[in-house]
Amino acid sequence: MKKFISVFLGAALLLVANVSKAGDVTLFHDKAGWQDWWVETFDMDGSNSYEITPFSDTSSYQAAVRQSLRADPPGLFTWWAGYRMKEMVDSGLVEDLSPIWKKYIDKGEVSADLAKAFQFDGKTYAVPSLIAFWPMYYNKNVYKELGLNEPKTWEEMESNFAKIKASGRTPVGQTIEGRWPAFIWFEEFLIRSDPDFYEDLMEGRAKYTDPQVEEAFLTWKSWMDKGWMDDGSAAFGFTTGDSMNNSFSKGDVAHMLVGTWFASTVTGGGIAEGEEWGYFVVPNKDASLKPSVIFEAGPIMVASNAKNKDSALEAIDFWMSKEASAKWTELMFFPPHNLGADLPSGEVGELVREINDGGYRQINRYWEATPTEICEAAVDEISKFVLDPSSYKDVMANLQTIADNYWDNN
Amino acid sequence: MNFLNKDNNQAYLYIAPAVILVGLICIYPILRTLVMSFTDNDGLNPANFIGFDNYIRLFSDPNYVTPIVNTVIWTVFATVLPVAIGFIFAYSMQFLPRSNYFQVLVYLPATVSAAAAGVLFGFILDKSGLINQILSFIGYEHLVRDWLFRPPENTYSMIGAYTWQATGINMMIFIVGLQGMPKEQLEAAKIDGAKGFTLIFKIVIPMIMPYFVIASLLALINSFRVFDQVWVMTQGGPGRYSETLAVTMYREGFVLFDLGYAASVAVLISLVGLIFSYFYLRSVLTKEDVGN
Repeated sequence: MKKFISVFLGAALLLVANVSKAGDVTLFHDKAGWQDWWVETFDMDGSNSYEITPFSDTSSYQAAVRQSLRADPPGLFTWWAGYRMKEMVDSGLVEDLSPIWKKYIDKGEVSADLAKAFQFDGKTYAVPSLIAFWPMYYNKNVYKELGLNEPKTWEEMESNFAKIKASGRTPVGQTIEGRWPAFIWFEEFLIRSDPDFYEDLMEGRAKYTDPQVEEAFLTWKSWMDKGWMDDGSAAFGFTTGDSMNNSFSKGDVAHMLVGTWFASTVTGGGIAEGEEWGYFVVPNKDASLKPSVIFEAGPIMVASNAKNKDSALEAIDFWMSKEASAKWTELMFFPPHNLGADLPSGEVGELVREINDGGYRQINRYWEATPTEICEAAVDEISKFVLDPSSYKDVMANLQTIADNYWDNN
Repeated sequence: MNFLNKDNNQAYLYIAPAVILVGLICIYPILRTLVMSFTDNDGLNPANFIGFDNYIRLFSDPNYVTPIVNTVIWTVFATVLPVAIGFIFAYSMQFLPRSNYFQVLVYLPATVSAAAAGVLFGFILDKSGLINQILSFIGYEHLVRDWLFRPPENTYSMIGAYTWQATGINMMIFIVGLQGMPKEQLEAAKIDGAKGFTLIFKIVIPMIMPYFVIASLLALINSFRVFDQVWVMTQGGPGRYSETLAVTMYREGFVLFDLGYAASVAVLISLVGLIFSYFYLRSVLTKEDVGN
């Protein structure tokens, strides 16, 4: 009897022991709603087993990942691109994934441009979990009712706004609710006049007090003075209440500028994709400029101190394959990171086709393109402009002070 | 007093678990935070000692005038309103039949978590929320607005939500005080002709002044470190206009990961809370000593 109990206890202990086996890959992410889709995609990888852990709160997720990176990190984790991952790169806590990128670029399956969002000193430190573009969503019901056409020029777009305003609707929704969205129209106005200046501004080679920034604020102010934009108090939201999305689906707001990841929420508001809402890329204010579009790319990174780092690198190789990319696109309706995978159906696919075929310049989003310390403070300053557009000169000066504080010390 | 005698050993054993628990989850983190406030800890790289740099930055950065001003506004209004309204409810309850039911109704909000109350009032104060619907219904459409969007309305709206929740506790404190009041002195004052506001301000309030002190100090401590409602309703925005010091601490620590700087803000908040707590404890202990 004693022998039986000992064997039983020993077996039980073995079962519950937290022993990391070869081929076990852990993935941390903060998009709890995506959990099933992560599992379904990685289940296709026969050579590794996966433990995928969702975090429901972004702040706790960030704290948990940062604290774990030196001691006991997950093999894979999602993060934010550009400057938001630079700290980890500089601290040597994430793996250089350039060899994996080279393999797929050489095969012609992945675009070298896509790697730029994750590159520092010529090396690439992440692969994309999310690719999104930032087009203008427009309500086709409103367009049909007012006899409007999708604008091809800045002037046509402004003419549409005037007609929509005259019909008693709000032409364009904007929001500063939740702080971060304040940068959306700031970056858009900048790239429509001078995208080179925008990229210089992101890297500290230009100033927030330069005339190009003033022009952007003045254009933005003129739209608000004409009543073409709302007051910014409504969040993007979901499908009810005073959310911008709900107002958009009812036609009270005719346009909103937001990432392609918002598409399913818009359709969830009760209007049909393609039939009742669509996309166009905001035309350049300076018509001589090459067409461009803001993009964002969310990274997956490999922790350098992960126990099963080799398995994690294999997982990344699988993720970049046509098979995994096609599955992820099928589930998420994101543009695929592997060019061999089919584009998603619907408006997103049409948009990606337009961007690829039209040779659009893809410009990194403000949130990732500029240092976090500048960005987090800047969105609060830009919010002050939205609350009081006449304060643009003070806002510009404050933005430059924020930028100076960072660039002088880094 | 001999701390090492046998009887005391048994007593120490009884209190040891609580002491260890308090030490681990209160004292140790406090000391760690204090040490962290003198470093440039970012949660990613080894921390370096930087002396008082974080504190110098806290008191010299003009961006922190708004959180400090907002914290003072919160401390004043979120102390005066719940204490005053709590006393009014407590005093009125004496004259109401079946006042128990009203006491429960007034106290009920105190049982809801601050974050849940924040979410609830986020809906009530929304553009299409209950407040605006009532205003429209009674013909005051011109007062309809997004109560949580523009400063300083958003701060005062949040203080209103906080008052709704905090009044019940103060009411209970004053009910205890009013019930413990010597009735003879009250009767004597009434015989002498004292009534109405004279009776309240010249007789009742002075007699229960210790309860006012306790309620006010408790309210001061809680309002100075307010975080939950502000974070849930506005995140300190827009444009940081409704930010308080506790929200600043959270932003610096968990948004910007400047943990050393966030620790210095936490130390400042704790120091002020400690000062208020000292006066509160002195007031409570003095009362108990008098009672003994």
